[in-house]
Amino acid sequence: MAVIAAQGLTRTFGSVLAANAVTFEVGAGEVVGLLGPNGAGKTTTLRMIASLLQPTAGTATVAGHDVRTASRLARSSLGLVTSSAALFPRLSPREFLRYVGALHGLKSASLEHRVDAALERFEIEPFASLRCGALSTGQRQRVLLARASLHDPPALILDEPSAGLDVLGAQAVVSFVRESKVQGKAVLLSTHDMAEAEYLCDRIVIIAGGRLVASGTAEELRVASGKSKLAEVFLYYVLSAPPRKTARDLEAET
Amino acid sequence: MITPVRWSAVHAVFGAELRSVIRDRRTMIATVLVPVLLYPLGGLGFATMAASSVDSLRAEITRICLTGPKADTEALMPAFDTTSSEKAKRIQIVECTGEDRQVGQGALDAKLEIPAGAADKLAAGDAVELGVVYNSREWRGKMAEERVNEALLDHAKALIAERITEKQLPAGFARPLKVVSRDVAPRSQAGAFQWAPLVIVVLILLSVLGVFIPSIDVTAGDRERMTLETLLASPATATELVLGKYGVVFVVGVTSVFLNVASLFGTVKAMASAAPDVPFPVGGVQAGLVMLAAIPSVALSGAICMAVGCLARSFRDAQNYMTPVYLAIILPSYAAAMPTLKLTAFTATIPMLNLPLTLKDIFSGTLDPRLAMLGVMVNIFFVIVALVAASRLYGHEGIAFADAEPMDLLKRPSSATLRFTTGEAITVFGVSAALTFYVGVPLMTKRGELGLFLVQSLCIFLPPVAWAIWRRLEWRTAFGMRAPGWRGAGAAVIIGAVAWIPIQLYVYYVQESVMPIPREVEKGLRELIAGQGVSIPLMILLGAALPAIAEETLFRGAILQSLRPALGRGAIVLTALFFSLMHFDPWRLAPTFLLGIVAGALVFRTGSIWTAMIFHFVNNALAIGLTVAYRDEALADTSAPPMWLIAVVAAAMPVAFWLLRSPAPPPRSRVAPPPPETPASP
Repeated sequence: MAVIAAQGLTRTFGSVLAANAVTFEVGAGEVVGLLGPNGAGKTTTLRMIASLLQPTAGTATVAGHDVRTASRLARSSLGLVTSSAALFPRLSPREFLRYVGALHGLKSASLEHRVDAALERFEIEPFASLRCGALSTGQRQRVLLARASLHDPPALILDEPSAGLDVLGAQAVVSFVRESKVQGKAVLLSTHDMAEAEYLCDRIVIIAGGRLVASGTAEELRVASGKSKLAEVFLYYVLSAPPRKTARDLEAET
Repeated sequence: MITPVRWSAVHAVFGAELRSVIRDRRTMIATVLVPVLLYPLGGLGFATMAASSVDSLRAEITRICLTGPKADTEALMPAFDTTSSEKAKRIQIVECTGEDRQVGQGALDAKLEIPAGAADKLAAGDAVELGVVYNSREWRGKMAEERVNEALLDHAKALIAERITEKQLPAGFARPLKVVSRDVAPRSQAGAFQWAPLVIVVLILLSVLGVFIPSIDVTAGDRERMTLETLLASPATATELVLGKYGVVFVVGVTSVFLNVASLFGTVKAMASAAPDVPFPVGGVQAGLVMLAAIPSVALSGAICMAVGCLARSFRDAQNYMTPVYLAIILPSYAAAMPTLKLTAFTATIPMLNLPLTLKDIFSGTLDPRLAMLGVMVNIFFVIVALVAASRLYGHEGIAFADAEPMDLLKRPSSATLRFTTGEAITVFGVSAALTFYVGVPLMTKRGELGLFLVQSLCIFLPPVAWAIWRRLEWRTAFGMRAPGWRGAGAAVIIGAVAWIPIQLYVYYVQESVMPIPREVEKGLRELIAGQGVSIPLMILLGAALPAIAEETLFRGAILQSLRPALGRGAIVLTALFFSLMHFDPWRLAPTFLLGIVAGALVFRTGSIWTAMIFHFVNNALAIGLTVAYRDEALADTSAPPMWLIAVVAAAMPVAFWLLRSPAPPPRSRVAPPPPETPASP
């Protein structure tokens, strides 16, 4: 059964059709890569799945919870890492993790245990008492990964988690994704790094102009496109995608 | 669907946000440092500096010259004799040319002009007019004028004493009346009308400053720091987040007020112990009352600032939005300086104005605790309204995400719903209630029938109808405008005709023993119903037909229909409560509540608002008719109905129930049904 399921997800911003009937699924223990050029609609799609944006049409479920009608349960079942969700600069990593854990309903004894475990797992302990505002980019990313997994959600959404990281930081992200897969979590990974996508993802979904233009394993996409490298496959699908529709086009169709 | 609030989440938000706010330098400076340092520095420091400056100025010598004929100037010289007059000791007589422009130029502080013949006049026991020329540009000039006047006054007293002795007159000849004033105000309230307005403005100014920065920090600050998405991605709802954050703003604001009051009063106490004649000798009890009175104001200004802060994307953005809000909160504090503006049952209901007036009464020792409580209740109501707005705005995707469509408050919403949402209905009720109270009640008092018409049409009928047009709501469902059928209409007429009798029984047997209606209130109501020189048809139109249409459109229409899917029969009770509150009359609270229950039950049973309108019309028309018919006696509002009327009820009710025996079908869902599926294309 799909842990993350998007069904006809559509979102308009004024006349712009940012996401147009996007449909895909991510199963337990599966890593699905969401690829697309800038402005393709990836972040909009991820935000709709994370119940941060209301879909104009269509729906999504996380662990079986509809993001529109049971958004609290859907958010409880999700760990989110995005570049636009930052840490509280005046709190320490330990305080920040306690805060987020409490919002997820973790009680004091269990919360302390999980925070300690996360600090150890992501090697945050050496700087656990510093203010988050004083941390390096790599250290911040480790705290964000700890936050996403603190409540042990069955689904993870990672929006360009290795962007701007050095090799060590990127390696921490890779280990986190692989470990999550082993734990049976559904991971939806949005990235611009083709090598990372090919290495980590079981399946790949390509979005262009707000529409899903290709979906399958890397091998299936290679065969279907007749290209040998994933970067070429990506370019093939993106460049051959039809132009983005407008909200008026959508209205006319319906 | 209403999501229950998890108080554990609110507590978590409060704890973490408080920690974060306390670590913010800007907040700590505005909340702690300013109040702790400002008053001692401004009060003790500045006052000491000013006093020391004045002392050194007073030690300086004033240089004056006397102009006029030599014999006349010499006649006045004893006034400046340093051996006989204490006040003349700081005056030095110098030479001058007599030109005015020399005065105030450093060498000369004042000039005394003595007319020719002054010496002779004084010798003859006559009066002389002297001219003092000084320059008020500087303190020295004014001080010179005062010193010359005092010295001359002392000399004049000596001359009077000489003349009285010479003429052998009694000592009181020149001063037949001696007046001694005695102020009965307690020392803590002495001169309150002078110093209280300034103290009130300073207190409110600094108290608002206490919530200003934290409210921006916890709202717009989230967007600037990009922590908004972090919070919105958690299972906490916007309401939980706003409540937790509001707790922080409130605590910081109250702390700021307490520090302000303690610091101000402590400073004054220190000044009073150093100089007992210092004005503003306020006691500890007043300090405590001021702190208590300021809490609702902090609560309200904090909630308003948070709601406005939720609109902003950045700290600077929020500061721009806050400026008018800041002024709107501060300006009413100047009302305390207006002697005719007092805390009354009306002004106590105006948020932000009630605080300075309450403080003024505290300082003058004339506070009516009932009015103070009314002010508190009003502020709590507006706090709730502001927090509801804040929770709607916080995390609104148009503000939260830069790439989302910007929020447009004036954008016409889509027509996805058939009826008012609960929030919309309560907002419409709030608007109607505020309009009725602040505009309608004064209109009715001053304009009589025209006022009544305007209240019903503009304050009660217009808001729900205008909103329904704006929202493109489906009228039939939004207001329950289903045809009542002859049985529903018949039952409404019967119940409308007899419902007042059991209500009258309630008033006679219950209300009169628990909360008796004052005779003057009853008389006023009867006069209002019977109309003063107004024709009965017009009174029936204004007092029965119009309220039936307007009030039922709002209450059994917009409100009941919106609450019904979620609350079931509980919607009848809640709507009746709103209905009774809207009458703004504590003595009619229970009777109007009971009438609201009956009207709601009728609509529930028949599914038609028309039955409530018919019931309301018949009930009011009958009340008007009976009041006119028995204008002077019998059937007073508080008298028991006669037995034969009770028998009529007993006979009529079974008929009404028989007519209502089959219930209305259940209401449709709040969300519009989806369009029929189109078959898949081949």
